[in-house]
Amino acid sequence: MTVSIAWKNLFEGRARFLMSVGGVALAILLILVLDGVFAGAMKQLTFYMDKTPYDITLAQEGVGNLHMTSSFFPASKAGAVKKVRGVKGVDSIFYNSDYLVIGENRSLAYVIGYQPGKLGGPWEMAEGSADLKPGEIIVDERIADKYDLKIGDRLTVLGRSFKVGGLAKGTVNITNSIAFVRYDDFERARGLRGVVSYSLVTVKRGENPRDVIGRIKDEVKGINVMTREEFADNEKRLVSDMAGDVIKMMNLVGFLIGLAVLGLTAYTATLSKVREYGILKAIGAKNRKLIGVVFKQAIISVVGGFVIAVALAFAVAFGLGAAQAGVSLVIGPPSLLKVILGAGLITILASSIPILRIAGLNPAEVFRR
Amino acid sequence: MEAAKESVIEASNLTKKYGEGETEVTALRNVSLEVKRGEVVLIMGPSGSGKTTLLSILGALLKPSSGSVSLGGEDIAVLSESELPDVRLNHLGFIFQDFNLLSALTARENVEVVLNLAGVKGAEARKRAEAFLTDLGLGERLDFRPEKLSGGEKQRVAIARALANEPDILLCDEPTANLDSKIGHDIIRRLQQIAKNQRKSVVIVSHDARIKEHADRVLWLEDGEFKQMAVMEHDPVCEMSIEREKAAASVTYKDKTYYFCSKGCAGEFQENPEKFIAGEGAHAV
Repeated sequence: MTVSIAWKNLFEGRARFLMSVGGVALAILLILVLDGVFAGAMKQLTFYMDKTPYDITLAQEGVGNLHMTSSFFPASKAGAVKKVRGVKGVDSIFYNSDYLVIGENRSLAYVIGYQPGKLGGPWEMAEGSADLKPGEIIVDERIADKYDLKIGDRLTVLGRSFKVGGLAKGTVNITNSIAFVRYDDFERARGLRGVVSYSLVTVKRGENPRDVIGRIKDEVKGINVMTREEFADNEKRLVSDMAGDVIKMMNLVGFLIGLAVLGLTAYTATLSKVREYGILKAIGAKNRKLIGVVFKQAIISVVGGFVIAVALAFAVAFGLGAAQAGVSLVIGPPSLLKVILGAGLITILASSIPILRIAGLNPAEVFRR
Repeated sequence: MEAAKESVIEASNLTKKYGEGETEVTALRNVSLEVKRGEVVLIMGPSGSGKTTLLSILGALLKPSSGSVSLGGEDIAVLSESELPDVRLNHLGFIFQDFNLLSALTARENVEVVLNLAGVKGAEARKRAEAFLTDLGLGERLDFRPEKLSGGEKQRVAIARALANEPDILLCDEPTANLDSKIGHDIIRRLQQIAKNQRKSVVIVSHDARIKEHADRVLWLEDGEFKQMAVMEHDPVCEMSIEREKAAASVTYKDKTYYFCSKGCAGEFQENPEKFIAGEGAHAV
């Protein structure tokens, strides 16, 4: 056990230490929250695919996702797929992005036209039934709460008025919600005939979806066939590509804030002790010992900031979950790994200038008054 | 007596120049100095005379432009920068005008940290630091940080730190400058005791003429050269320090010469020399 000059120096200048730890915590928290919100949004984005129990998605040829696209292909193709060996069932849906017009308010939604009793409808109801009657719509409970909608109230979507027939759970994501209407209502509202948007295929027990996809592709041409997971991945990739630059930019901002705060506090902490480092050099401390002190101080600040930031981020995530907010924070191993690497880089960069200053310090300076 | 003649540090023909060309300044010109074990050498001189440069070179903090510094038989002037920290840590102790304690550490930790640097750790370092400080009367101040210590206490902590690794030589830069005369006297007296009792060599750079009476030798440095040397003697009767050249009387007894501040002291000595020289020896020339 030796006297830890690093700890002693840090705790002597408590205000500077707290500022340093706080600044690093803020920067790491910013990175974690941005990443967490993004990861949460990605997770919410594919809730529809993740929660609906099917195996294979059929879409219009060239279409591989839901967001910012439309898909229509002949209903006969879905009928043909039903006959492919290994297919258990094919349930088709309509899909369109539209605004729910609630009085003066507008709320963006993915509108799904599904056949009650079949796949493609809401996976969890908060109120009412998923077995919609003609002219009814299911909206998310949080949308209903936000716009003071109750079962029996009316709203407009797809150019028609619908009565709220039920409230679903967990269909809100960071940009929109999902609303469900009957398949035939959607068909009528859009004037569609003989087409579907997507088909949700289930395979027979013991069948490998990939094998079944191969057969569908052989036997039914002119549609896009993919696993449920590929469909979800495409959705994530599209949104990730769209928001990726913004997220990267914000991460860089967080990194630079952390670097600036720690760099500045590490430098001023070193500068304020430069005479003492000179004394230590004069009495026999080697450069590597002094560099170790500076580096250790930076590591302590970063680890302190990291622990606080992670604790706060998990608290925020828990709070958002408890509040059932539209935004969810998902802090996974990739985010943690990213901030650990970022924090390590901040430590090295922030210490480098003070370390150079210490390494170049002339011990004879101690005699200067 | 042989031990008293053992040379601890020997500087030969030291020259130190700063800058070059028209801006070149010669801080030291062919300065030579030998300090023996247990000797207290005081170097005085006006500001800018080269005292601090000489102390820095003796302390392995600065390399001379030419000349050598032999410490324990090794020329430290030619050692590489990476070798010098070990020399400073194990053979030299520094005492500064501004005390130069580490403000975040307690008195004990200030001493302990030097022991840690030398590889003494844990309870052993703590025990030794406490012993050094207790010896210097700081047993009640072990856990005080420098800001809570008086000037004299800080300088005693600095002395404990300088002694921690049992160096051969203590290099003191104006050790009394920031202390009042009483405390300054106490510090110098302690340094003198350390030199005599622990057989450490002490080199003091100071403007404080009151230190002269505690020194074995006084050197005057001016314009980078030693101009005159005063050899200090101790009157064995009244124990006062006096410059040999200015002694009021001298008496040779058993092949040794003793110097006195007054003829009265010389007379008293001659009446019964053995009474005054019992156990003496270190100060005699």
